[in-house]
Amino acid sequence: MITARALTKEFKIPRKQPGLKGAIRHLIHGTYDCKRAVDGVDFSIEQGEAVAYIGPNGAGKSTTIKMLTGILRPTSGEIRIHGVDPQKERIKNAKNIGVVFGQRTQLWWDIPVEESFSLLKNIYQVPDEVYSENLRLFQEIFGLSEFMGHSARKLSLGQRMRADLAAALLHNPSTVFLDEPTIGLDIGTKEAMRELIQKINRERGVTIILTSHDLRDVEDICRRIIVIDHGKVVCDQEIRALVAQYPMDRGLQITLSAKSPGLLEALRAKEGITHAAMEDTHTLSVEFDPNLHTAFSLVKEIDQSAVILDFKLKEPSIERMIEQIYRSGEGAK
Amino acid sequence: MRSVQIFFQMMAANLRGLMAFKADFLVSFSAGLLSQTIGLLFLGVLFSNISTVAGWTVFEAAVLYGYMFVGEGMMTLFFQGTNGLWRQVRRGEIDRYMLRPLSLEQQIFGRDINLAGAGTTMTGLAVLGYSLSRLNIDWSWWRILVLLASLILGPIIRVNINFACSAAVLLLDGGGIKGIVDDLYEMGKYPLDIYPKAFRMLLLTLVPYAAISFVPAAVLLGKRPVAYILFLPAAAVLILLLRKFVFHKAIEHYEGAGN
Ligand SMILES: Nc1ncnc2c1ncn2[C@@H]1O[C@H](COP(=O)(O)OP(=O)(O)O)[C@@H](O)[C@H]1O
Ligand SMILES: [Mg+2]
Repeated sequence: MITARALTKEFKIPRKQPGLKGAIRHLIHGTYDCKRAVDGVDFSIEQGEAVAYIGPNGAGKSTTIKMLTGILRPTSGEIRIHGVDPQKERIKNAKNIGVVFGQRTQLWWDIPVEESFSLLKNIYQVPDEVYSENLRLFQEIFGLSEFMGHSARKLSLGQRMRADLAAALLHNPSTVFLDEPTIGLDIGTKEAMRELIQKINRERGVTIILTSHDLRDVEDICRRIIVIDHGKVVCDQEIRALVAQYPMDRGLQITLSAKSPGLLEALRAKEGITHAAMEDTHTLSVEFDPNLHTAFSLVKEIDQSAVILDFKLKEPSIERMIEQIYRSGEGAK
Repeated sequence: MRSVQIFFQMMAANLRGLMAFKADFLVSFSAGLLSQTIGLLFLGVLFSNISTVAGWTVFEAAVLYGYMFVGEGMMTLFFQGTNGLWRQVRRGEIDRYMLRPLSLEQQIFGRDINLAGAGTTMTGLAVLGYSLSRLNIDWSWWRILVLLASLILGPIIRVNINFACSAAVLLLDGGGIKGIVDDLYEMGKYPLDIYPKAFRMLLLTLVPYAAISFVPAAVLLGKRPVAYILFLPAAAVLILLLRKFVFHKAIEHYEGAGN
């Protein structure tokens, strides 16, 4: 189990005047600006959960992950990971967890991947059977063998991230932290990464804590989301419950035979239409409040001023749901 | 014991990584040789006009150079990771070390091998050996002991000075201190007697470059009583503790690599 209680991190940013005089003055007076990146975060995550930790840029996601993994010292508050304080017992905690940072590799830069793995095997004291079983699994999903002999420096981003995820899982950690693991990856690699993460979560009961801007990651892997904004938790729920709770504006996608002048303006003028735009020359996208309109009544109305070739209903996506959470958060301020 | 084994495995991997670039290998090795030889030229120029400096002849002074080169070379060869900690912070390497179940020191010590250090060490040993052979030293058992101890403790002191300085740069968030310590390194190449008292104390205690070179040389050459050699182990213990303290403080202040 993972718990965070009133977790807070303030960064002290030195306020230095330029030049030598400023440096000396700073040394004596030591004035700092305080930046509160994480502000009283509470949560508790059971073993085997898969949780998405999401929020806009600068919300404090990475800072939270860094505190949970023992890299950063909290300013105040408490963390327990399987009963261990990651700051006080960094090494003990490190044995239990696996970590992937999308922007940075955890591998040795100049050493062949193969050799990095065998070093990690020794460092984490991974038993031979576990090691070869894991390598077999990674090979099956990732096809690692094609670049096992290359040093991390020479890998493409996709290869490196596959190697990085494999390296983080080599010692069968009970919890895995993934900070933007799919950033910048091609679709194929993204899917392979999701597959492996999903597999170890479902089949091995590994706890997953994931931050990502790609909501496909969230949908495929996680069952719960914690949304953070300005360092504070603004929502912590099962994704399914969240979908039920947010009666979303519905969306319609309509294919027209030709562009119809005046149609968009007419739609936008109506009450209960939250969005109307042409996606391309023939595709009209409309979002509406289901309390005021039905998809059928709208289609019928549009049909009177344009020729409809096809239409479909858009499902409420997590993406739009999260947008709403942010919006309502902004409104509360 | 297991951590020692992992350390050696890391070093072996580093070395194999280096061997992959055979050309680099030779270039950095010769660079080490060359840069120290240029240092020696300066010694030659210095002694071309004057016969002694503070009572030390050219070969006696060369012993100091030899010791400093050996310390420098061993550090560069095996413990290059103690250099430029701030750079490792910026690249997120320290963040990575923190994720591993190993001590940070072990990972920093085991980070890198630089073959320029092999060139420097060999130059140092050659200069030391040749100078000592020209000095008619009576090699009694205790002199041999002093020589061995100084060749082991010297590099240890050198590495710890470097590590402490690198950690202090992190802690104070500035490069000023590195310039000062580098200047003190140059001072370690000459007889202590030419400096004012405050510097002598500094070079024997807080930044003990003199314990690497001057202390064993002065004892071997009979310029100081045998008991003077005690500065060597004392300085080693002191700098070790100082390094541990400064590094601990630096990590306590560590705020991560940023984004
Ligand atoms: N080492 C640091 N020093 C100062 N400020 C930092 C540091 N790391 C992060 N921050 C600030 O803290 C806030 C949260 O950052 P971060 O946790 O990286 O956000 P996220 O990962 O959600 O995008 C940002 O405003 C960022 O600029
Ligand atoms: Mg981030």
